Amino acid sequence: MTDRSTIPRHLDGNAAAGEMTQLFGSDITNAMGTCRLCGHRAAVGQTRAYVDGPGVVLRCPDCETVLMRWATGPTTVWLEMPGLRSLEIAIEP
Amino acid sequence: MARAATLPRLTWQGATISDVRRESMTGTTLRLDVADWPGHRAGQHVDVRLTAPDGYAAVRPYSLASAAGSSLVEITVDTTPDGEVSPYLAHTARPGHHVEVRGPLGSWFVWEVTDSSPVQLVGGGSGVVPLMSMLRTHRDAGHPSLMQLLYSVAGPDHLLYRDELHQLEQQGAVTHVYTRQAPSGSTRPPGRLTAAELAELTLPAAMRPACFVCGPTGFVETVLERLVELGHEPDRLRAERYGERSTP
Ligand SMILES: Cc1cc2nc3c(=O)[nH]c(=O)nc-3n(C[C@H](O)[C@H](O)[C@H](O)COP(=O)(O)OP(=O)(O)OC[C@H]3O[C@@H](n4cnc5c(N)ncnc54)[C@H](O)[C@@H]3O)c2cc1C
Ligand SMILES: [Zn+2]
Repeated sequence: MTDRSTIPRHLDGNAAAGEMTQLFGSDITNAMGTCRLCGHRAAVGQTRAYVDGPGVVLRCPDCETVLMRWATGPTTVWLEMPGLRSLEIAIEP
Repeated sequence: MARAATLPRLTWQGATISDVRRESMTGTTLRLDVADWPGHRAGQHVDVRLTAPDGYAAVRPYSLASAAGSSLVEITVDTTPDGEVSPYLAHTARPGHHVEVRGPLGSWFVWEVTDSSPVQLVGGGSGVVPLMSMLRTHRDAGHPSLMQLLYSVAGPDHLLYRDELHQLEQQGAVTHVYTRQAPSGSTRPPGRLTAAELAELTLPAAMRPACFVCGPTGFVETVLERLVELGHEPDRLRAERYGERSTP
């Protein structure tokens, strides 16, 4: 296993469910994302979430590519999805 | 210039603390009265927001401890020394106090009652909270699947849900491992969960149990790695990392 001791301790994307519900209008932690760099597929709730910075950063659990990041200011939310190739969101039957 | 799209602000809901139960030396269960609570699934959490008189607000996630299907909204908070939020919730909060919540949240770390596979729960410290919701949901439903918990805790003073877990321990569904201080009469010296103990005290990979692992990030990482070494398929494992904690 790679040594992660120098990387700040992360949470899971699931922990950011409240923030994402705010952003997307629904809970997407169950949606499946695919990493643009390595092709890894994981639920949004399964990504690595770094929340100690000014915003929230979700990284690929396999290669650490930034999948999504967002920062909330007083009047806007700035959202980037640099490493996310696709997001598959199930529709309720 | 075109105006950017506007997002509605997600509603924070007022919640009144209606009951406060001390669980351990450092942990407390709070019952919250939330109007029109939609019900939750076992494993979900709420975000709790505290706002100071000067407007400064702090938000932290807390797992729901109460059974899914009950209308109770209960969280259990263990004290992080010098923390912003947890000392208030665990020590100062009293019935009648108000906080704000949003939720229930999270669809990933969830045990569904419709799942009939065996379930292995592994909790470290306050990571036992959402697992307790799963155990309570399972028990209240008289669920036929096998569900068992391995609970790593610093010492008897930190043990949450003592009586309820003791009952389940009698039925063989719960095993405790003490990391810092063992209860009197215990034959195992205190210490971290070893790979051999994890193998011995959890359901075998051959049963293909759904595994839910929750606790401090370091604890969760170690347990997940070892479960994979024991042959569990990664897609049978779900984890909830709480961040760092000094006393798993
Ligand atoms: C999805 C989720 C569910 C959670 N559910 C529960 C729960 O049911 N019960 C519960 O007690 N806690 C739970 N937590 C942890 C909780 O959200 C807070 O992180 C914890 O209460 C510390 O908050 P604080 O404001 O008191 O400390 P802070 O002011 O945030 O931190 C104070 C110090 O403690 C360190 N620290 C940061 N996070 C943690 C942590 N998780 N534990 C210990 N030290 C930390 C910080 O680095 C800092 O030095 C959960 C976390 C997540 C992500
Ligand atoms: Zn990747």
